[in-house]
Amino acid sequence: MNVKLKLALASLKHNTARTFYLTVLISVICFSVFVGETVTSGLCGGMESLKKRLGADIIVIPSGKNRQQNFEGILLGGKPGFFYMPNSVLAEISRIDGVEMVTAQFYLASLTADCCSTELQIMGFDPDSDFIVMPWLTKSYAKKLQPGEVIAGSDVFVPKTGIIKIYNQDIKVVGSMDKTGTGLDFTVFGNTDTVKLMLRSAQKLGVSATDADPDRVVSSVMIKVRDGFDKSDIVNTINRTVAGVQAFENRDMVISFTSRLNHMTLMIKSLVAFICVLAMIMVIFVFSVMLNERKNEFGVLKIMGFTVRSLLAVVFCELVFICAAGSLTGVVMAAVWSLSFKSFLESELGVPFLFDGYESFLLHAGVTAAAGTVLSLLLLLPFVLKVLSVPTDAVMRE
Amino acid sequence: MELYLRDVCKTYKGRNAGHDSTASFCMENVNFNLLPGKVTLVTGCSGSGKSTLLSILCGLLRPDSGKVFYGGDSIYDLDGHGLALLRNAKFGIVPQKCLLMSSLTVRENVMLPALYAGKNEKKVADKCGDLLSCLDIGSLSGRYPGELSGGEMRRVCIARAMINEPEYIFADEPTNDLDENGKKRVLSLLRESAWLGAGVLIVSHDPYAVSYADIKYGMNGGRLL
Repeated sequence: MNVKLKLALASLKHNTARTFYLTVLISVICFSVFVGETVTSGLCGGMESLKKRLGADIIVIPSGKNRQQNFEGILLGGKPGFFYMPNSVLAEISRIDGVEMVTAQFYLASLTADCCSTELQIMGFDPDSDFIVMPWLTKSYAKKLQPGEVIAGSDVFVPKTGIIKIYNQDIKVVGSMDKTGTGLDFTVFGNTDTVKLMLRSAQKLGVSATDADPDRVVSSVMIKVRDGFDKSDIVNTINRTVAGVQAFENRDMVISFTSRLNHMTLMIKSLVAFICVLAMIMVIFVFSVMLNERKNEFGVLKIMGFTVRSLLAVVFCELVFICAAGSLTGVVMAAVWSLSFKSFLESELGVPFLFDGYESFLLHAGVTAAAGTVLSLLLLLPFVLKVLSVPTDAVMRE
Repeated sequence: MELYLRDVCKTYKGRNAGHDSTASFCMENVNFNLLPGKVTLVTGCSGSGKSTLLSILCGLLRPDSGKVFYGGDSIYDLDGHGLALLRNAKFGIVPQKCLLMSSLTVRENVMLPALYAGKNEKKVADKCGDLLSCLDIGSLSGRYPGELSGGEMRRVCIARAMINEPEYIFADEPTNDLDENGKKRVLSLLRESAWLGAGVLIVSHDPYAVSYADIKYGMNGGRLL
């Protein structure tokens, strides 16, 4: 084995405490960076997914206190809920100048009771007028959904039989959606007739929270605005002229979430930066102390004829081992942590969260480990050069 | 090849200037020849310039003026790389302070300069065994420096300086920390090296070393006497 490499390995092995502390400190930096990166990219992915799924320009829901939060909970947080308004609003809205397309949606929540397999959000859409759900639902199921058939969100538990029971109705799950990182992952989608059938069944069982006639109500109205018309004008018109509803722009909801997302990512990035700076200061401190302790060793190597280049190679080998081991440990631990808490993050953050695919995840892990190694080397090399330039004759004296 | 210095001057202040941290130290127009096959002893009190002379001669301390010649060429005209290679191949240096690599065993410490020079590991190991036996520390070959006494460390440093069979050996206070038997072994080994053709420079204030020297100098205030 090369003498320089042998010397580096011997030093690492002999000074286990020093090697361990430096490795741990560097792994803390990489762990923080990778976890921070995973969480922030998950948040950004969730936001992008939300933007793609919200295909309407304007959303209309029944007026009422906390109704918008209720709607956001269904759409983003996977919190089952429902609300209704007369379906006559659909015709009223259609007549407003500038409205190009309208479609109604129908929401229902199942129960954790004998009549239902599990607590779920059910979303009904009108296949004849829908322009929101169908475009991305057809990717999971190309045929037309029949009454009694649903498509399940990615996180909905579907038994092997493919049948779920909702208010004593056996509903056939004909497909599953890709993950969206939003509340839609905990939702089943069927046409309006299927959802109305469930509501009627709930009313018969006496477990429905509403006695509204399913044929006379809708939960929300999604609007596409004709080109050249101002969306905020139409929102104002709806709020002024249609009784019992509240309209808001899709953008307003996204902006509200983008703002929350920005706060969250800023907080995460600040925390990561703080941990990194602290760990870097400690790395520099430990490393400087270590180098100072080794001044005599470097001096004696110079005395026996080691060139500065050779000394640099010895320290560089040691650093590569420490930095690579630290970076790899940090990234592996971060990956294990991220994968272990993936479901928790997705369900508990309260904002859309879409975890990267495994390919992208591994790529990020590799890049973080490599960058961690290179950056720690760059951080520490100036200190090495400073120590190696110390005159050798000082070592000769007591 | 001959090693000598001509008209060498060196001045420095502060902590390098002996015990008095404020004093300036001056070495003026020193001329000196280190002869192959001879043991040269330089004695003098602390701060007289003995170690400075040794450091300049073995390529560790650049003089302010004057030159150090090895084989007719000025060694300080070499770059750092060339000078380091010269030290490794031709010089064996025993520093005043017993410095060893704490992560290597005694045997590995002694073998290091030769392995760095690219010599055959088997031959180096044999030579190392001989040197350690000769210095009566053969049984310590597997120990780490932290487990050695001052005298044992001193002997390891001497073995390390001789492993490459250098043309010149520079020993700064080689008998420090040694008992009488140890001094005898170390000085005999240096003497033997001179008989084999090496030029040996011993810098010491130990009177015991005098009887082993072929040429003796005194040093005072940076001047050779």
